Amino acid sequence: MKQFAERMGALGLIACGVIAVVVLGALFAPLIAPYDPTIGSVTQRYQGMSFEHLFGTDQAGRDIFSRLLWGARSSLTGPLIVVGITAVFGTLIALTAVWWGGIVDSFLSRVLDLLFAFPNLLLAMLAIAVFGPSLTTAALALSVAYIPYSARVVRSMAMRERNLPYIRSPELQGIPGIVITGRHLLPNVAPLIVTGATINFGFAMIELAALSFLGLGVQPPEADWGLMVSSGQQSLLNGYPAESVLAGLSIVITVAAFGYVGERLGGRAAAGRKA
Amino acid sequence: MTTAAHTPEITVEALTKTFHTGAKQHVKALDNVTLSVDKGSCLAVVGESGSGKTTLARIIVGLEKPDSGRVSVSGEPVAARANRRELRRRARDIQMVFQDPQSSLNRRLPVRVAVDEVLKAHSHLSRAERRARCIELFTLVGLEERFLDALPSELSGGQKQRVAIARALAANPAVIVLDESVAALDVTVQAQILELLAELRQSQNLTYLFITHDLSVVQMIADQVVVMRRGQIVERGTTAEVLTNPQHPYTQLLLACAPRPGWKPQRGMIQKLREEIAS
Amino acid sequence: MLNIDNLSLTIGPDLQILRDVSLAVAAGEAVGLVGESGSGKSMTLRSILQIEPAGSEVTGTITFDDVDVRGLTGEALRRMRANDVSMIAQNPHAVLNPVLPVERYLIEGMHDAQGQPTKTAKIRAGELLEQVGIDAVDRVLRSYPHQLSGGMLQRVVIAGAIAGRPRLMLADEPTTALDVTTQAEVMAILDECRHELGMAMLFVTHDLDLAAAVCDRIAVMKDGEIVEIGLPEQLRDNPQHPYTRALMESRPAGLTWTPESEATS
Repeated sequence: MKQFAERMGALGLIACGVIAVVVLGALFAPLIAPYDPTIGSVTQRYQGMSFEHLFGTDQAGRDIFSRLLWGARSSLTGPLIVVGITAVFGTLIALTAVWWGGIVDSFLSRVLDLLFAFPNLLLAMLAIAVFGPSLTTAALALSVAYIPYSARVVRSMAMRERNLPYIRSPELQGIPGIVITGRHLLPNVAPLIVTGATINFGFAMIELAALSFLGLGVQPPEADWGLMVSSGQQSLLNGYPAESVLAGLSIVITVAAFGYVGERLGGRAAAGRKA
Repeated sequence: MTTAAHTPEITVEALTKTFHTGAKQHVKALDNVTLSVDKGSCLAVVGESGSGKTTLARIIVGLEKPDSGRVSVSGEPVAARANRRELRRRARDIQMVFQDPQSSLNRRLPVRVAVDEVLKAHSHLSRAERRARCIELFTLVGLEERFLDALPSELSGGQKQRVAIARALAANPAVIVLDESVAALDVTVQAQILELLAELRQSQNLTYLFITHDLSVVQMIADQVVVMRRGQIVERGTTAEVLTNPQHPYTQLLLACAPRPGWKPQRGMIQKLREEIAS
Repeated sequence: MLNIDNLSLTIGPDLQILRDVSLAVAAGEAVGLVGESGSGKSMTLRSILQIEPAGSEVTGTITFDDVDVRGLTGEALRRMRANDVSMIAQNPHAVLNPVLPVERYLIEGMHDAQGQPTKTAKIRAGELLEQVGIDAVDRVLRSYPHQLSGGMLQRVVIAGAIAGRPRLMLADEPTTALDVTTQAEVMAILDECRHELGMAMLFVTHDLDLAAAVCDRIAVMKDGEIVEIGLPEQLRDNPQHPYTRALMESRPAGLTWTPESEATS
């Protein structure tokens, strides 16, 4: 724990704190949120900040604070799905390529190159055009787009480890590849996978917010930060910037926090490799 | 040892291996290499980088496949194609100790695991029996029992190399291939490990193939020497013969360049010997 | 010329790397600093040029021509590094920029660091390569680092290091990454250059015999301390410290063949 704090530094700990607040807010949204995020009343539109409505209300008269809290849920689960799928499949592909090498490696690398050629958002939009807009579709499509990134990073490190004696020696005993990969290779590339996932989390969050903003992700009246930036546009023009700005800030701060923690973890992964 | 002195434990016949490094470039790592190692003896394979000595070691243990030629151990030919079952069979005859103690052990697991997994692969011992055997092997290589559950980072380079030796011994092999196994160690530690290896050869009835670039190491451990240069064996003989009366100019060059008390590097002589080798 | 006095170096709260290291190098003298990994020999060398790792705490004094080099900053430090003291490191591949030809490396040193005009620097680069025993000067000058062997590259690094006619050469295991025959050649060249230029040298190595071959005096280091300083013969024939004795004994003197003995028999 102390080691972790040292590695993170002051700024890193603040970033961890930010992440904790966002996660707790999302988890306990039903308990904390003073209002239902989807129901408002026309009489309450465009209220300013007050004890009643901490951040005011939007054009539909919904409490912005409550919407931010509930919005954290979809804004976090989306990236979580992306990162989870990406890490699992990226690692699986990378380790398969590295263990078998040769033709298997060349084939998988070509497939990844092919996926790389598609812009992430384009791939996502393609999927949405086929399956219809929803958070699940958007997240699944982005996962596919992210797999090559994760796979490449893991592959390059695993490739170096593959040739080290601690992997070669059990291989020479005729111990099955799957056992060696699970016992030796995976644990030693794991820090890198975690780091990659943390950094990807931020990227996925931005891109999912962008999709929601375009109306291709989370659907109204659900609360979502990207959606809030979009629906707040009208209010922005009417001189009520709170909704868009606060939702935008939430995205930026959360993404920055994940990015920073990821980078700090990356330093630790590098140090672990040396030791 | 005297009675078995001339039974070959490893024979290598006409081994050839070419690496393709580019579209039209290739390197002959091994060019028709033939040698044999007597049971219970230690053969040192000496050469500089690019001599093919490491490729030879890798082919013998099964990490590499030769283009042509044959390897046999205890009179039985070893299949060139190294699938898992073949590797397992071969591992009971031949084990390897690698150069770098740092990367020799999984840095995230207790060092015992390295030995334990070899025991698991080659025997039907129970968990408790394997632990007891681990302790035996650790004692054999001069490590105390308390190191069993230590992480590699808690051990010195010499201690890690002792664990690597224990791992090699765990399969009860007849032959151990030592690939520059003391090169990464400090000289005082080198001496200790070489001493340990010499003891083990006696007590466990082992045969060594020792890959090295270092003639003073050769002198400390080997009975026989082959000198390799660019994939070919240029000289072979007993250690005493080769080190005191080298015939090939390349062997002479290696000897002339080996630092020792009273030695001075002499450029003129190095150049003269280089020319002799070229001609 | 170089005086190290009671040099101590600690990293963090409790990692002591050097303990009261005192050592003097006279003008033109070669001193070997011999020890095993972790003995602090490299760190001593790095302290002289102020390139110890970040976060190290250094006490004691290092003077060069009676100037406190630990106190030097900015321009004065740069001038010392450029003109008076050169360093050769273990891995030449890490020293040369892989995307520039060798010629640029040499010219850069002379032009940018010492202020020589590019034209004279170019001519001088060729001369320097000849001085370090390279025959195909033009070919080597045009080559990129990856096209040259480690031994050839290390010669290029030596050429760069002697370009400014430094008075002190700091050599940090310059031949450890090389094959034995290349090592002997590079050491011979380094030794010749040193004598030609009357350069002093502080030679860090783990190989006592190698140090003895090119050094006037040898300091043996262990665990951050110098345990013994003496002439090479003294250390060999009459080592005082048990550690020096252990070092001597771990390399039995059995390799006796020399080309001369061949010629006489």
